Amino acid sequence: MKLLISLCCSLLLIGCSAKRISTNPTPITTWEQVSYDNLQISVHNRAIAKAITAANQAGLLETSYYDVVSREGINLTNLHKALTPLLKDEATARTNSEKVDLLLNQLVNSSTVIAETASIKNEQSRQNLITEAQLVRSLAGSILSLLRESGVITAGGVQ
Amino acid sequence: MNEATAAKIAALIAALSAITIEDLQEIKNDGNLGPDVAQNISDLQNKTASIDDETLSVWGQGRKDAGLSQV
Repeated sequence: MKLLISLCCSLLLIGCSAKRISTNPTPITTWEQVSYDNLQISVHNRAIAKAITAANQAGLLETSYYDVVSREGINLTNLHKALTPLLKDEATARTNSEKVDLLLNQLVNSSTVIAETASIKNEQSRQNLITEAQLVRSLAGSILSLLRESGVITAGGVQ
Repeated sequence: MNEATAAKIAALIAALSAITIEDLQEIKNDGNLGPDVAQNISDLQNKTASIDDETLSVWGQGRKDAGLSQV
């Protein structure tokens, strides 16, 4: 029984580390990791949009707050839409390295604004929103690190 | 807190949890990459663009429903 429990716990831990790609037996390239992290940004950003909009529709937000945060959310999404094609390959990213650096830092700032101004009248919902926004910030930072390690970006940093 | 508010909050928490689990499942599915690197990156890029478009749609509809102007 103890062995079975240990095995289940081990499998859970392995599964929980799946945020980094681990199911493919061949090595994951830096650019696949960048693209995967970038996809995760869009997934968590969409979760932010759905969560805040659902909270507003449930009457848990002031309309004035929803106005401000949705503008920031739209801005964040448009930043991300501008960033994604620049990450399609290393050559494109290198050619546009300053813009990539700028966009990623703007993503970090925008997600920080959303996290720090979370104003939902339910603590658990508020914490969920903060978690998603912090994940977006962390993923943008992770992409910045990957690009610095590969020499695509040579200056700047996450604020 | 009255029952109606408690029910609203419970529904919202359930909705938020469902969204997170669904999105995590999507991440897991997209983690199963094949050997063709260029195809993988292209697939990831296309999926990313599609999700961003969906996000803008969520915000746009949300603002419309709230009586706010489109950005």
